[in-house]
Amino acid sequence: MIHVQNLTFQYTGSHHLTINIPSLNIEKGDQVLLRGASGCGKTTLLGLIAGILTPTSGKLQVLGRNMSELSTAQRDSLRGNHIGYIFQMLNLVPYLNVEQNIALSCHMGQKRMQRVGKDNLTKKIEKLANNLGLLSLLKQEVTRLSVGQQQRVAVARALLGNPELIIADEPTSALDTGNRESFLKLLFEQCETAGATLLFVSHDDSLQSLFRRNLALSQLNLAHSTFAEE
Amino acid sequence: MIFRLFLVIKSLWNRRFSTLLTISSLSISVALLIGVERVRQGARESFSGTISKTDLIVGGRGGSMQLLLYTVFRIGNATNNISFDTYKTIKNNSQVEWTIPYSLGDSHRSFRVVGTDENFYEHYRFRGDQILELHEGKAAQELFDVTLGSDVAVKLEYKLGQKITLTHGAVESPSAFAHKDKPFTIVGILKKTNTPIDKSVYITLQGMEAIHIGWQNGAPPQEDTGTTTQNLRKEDVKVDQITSFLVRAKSRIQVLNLQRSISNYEQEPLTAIIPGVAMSELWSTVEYAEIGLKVVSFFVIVVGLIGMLISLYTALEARRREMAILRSVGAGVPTIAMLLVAEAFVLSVTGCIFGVGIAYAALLLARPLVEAQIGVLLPLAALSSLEWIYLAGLIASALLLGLLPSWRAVKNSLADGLTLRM
Repeated sequence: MIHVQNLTFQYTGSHHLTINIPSLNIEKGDQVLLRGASGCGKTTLLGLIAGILTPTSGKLQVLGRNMSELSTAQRDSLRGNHIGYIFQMLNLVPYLNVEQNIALSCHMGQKRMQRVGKDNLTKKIEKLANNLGLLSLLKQEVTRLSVGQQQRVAVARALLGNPELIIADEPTSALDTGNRESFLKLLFEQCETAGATLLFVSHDDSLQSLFRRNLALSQLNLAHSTFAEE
Repeated sequence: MIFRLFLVIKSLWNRRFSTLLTISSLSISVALLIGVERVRQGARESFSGTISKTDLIVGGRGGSMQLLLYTVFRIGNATNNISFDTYKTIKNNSQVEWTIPYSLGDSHRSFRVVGTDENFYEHYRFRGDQILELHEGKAAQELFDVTLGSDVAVKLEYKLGQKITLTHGAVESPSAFAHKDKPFTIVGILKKTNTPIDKSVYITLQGMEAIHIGWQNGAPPQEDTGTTTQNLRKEDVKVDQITSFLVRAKSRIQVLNLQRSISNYEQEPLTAIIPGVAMSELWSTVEYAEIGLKVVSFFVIVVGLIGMLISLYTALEARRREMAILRSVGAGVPTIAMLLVAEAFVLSVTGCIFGVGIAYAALLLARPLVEAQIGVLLPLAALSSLEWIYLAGLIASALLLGLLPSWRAVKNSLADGLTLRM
């Protein structure tokens, strides 16, 4: 699903590498927790995987595509069609209702829409909403939702149209502990049902026990450790 | 595509207060542009509609502009008269359909006196094919009959049957000689035409001749001529001279020929002008006013567009989060740019639609008032091709201006990537 070999990345104008990862492999169906404190290159790595940033050197394969060889538009379409992205918070477009926010991913990614089928869109959204306990909220304004509900809407959007990879960037940090576990349970369930690979990023070590596979970015990313030692 | 337009409209609606302000400022600009254009057109049309169906204006030797001014607009004076014999010769020319003779030079309380005959009431046309109609009474027929233009009757509060005296010369002054011995009786009042016709009084050619019996070279008679309104009869007065006359040719093709033969008339030096040509020459002297109006409305459009630019630009900062979300679901740079340009498009098109609506509503309301007050008939026709070009130009400039905030949004979203800014 994701294969990294000697991947480096340096921001233009910066004097040191932000990312220097000799090796990282995430296989199909994995549910991986990538731990790391803020400032260790989490956001940068996710930006690279999502195709917002391009590697400076080395090899980054996402879904079998070599990211260095893709054009900007190809990377945008890869992200739109095959990756579901969940932010830490404020995932929702404020002027769209819950249903429209979920549908956003299908409207922007053509292949996703094809997979769902235009006529089945409402049905699929209702099914996902039902699984995530959002069914009664579909026509609601998103500004009226609680943070937990907002994050579940973001999960529904990420999962709609069965993307192969779900990237979650600290989606639980705004939730309290009780909500956090039930949210994670739902997320695992839904990823399994959809057969999606989950890459979950967090600085919260207490989540370790909940994941089958744990990775510490501080150990993977040499750029960070050399930088930290300085 | 439809979903993207939906996004644009939703996003604009989300900021509906500033959207509404932008649209109203744009629509007021558009309404003003169309209003100014209509006033300009209306003024031009009523100006050129002062006289119609007349192929030639003929007068004595002199400038063509002068001839136009004193014959059609009753401004200034003729330098030379023409003899009535010459008039009759041309009137009887086989190519001529009708003529209207004018004998000018006198006034009544600053309103010009025009000596003419029944042809004037029968053939004179203005604003296309409109004819002169009597509001009350009848056309002046007897020697000392006078028919008033509408403005004269209204301003001087004259009634039918009243007697008025005419003054020699075109200007009211203490030294001016009044034809006190020969008062005229008001027999008719013309309907309003909103042309200079309203600002004159009309008598017969013979009447004009009668009040000048015994005059020598513009000086009043030295001794009593013994003529009075009682003992003069119309048949006895011989018309000697007129000032100018209007000619309608039987066919338009003959007009130039006719003009040439009149200009080369051997018995007397004559000037013949084509009114349309002379009128547009005259109009071109006031073109700077037209240009001034256009410049003002152009700047109003510019201000409207700048307002739009400001509102799009200031909204950007608040929309960085929105952009990052769109990027995360696969929107590329072109999509982000397109959304912003599409917003400018929606704003400007809506502004145009409302602006045209406002303009037509205002025209409909103001039309009767403007026509009554200043005699300009505002055209209510569909949008002219020039107006369409203006609107298209406005939308095109809005799209170009929309590129500015969209370029900025692209820069922001490239810098932000998938980081969410509050």
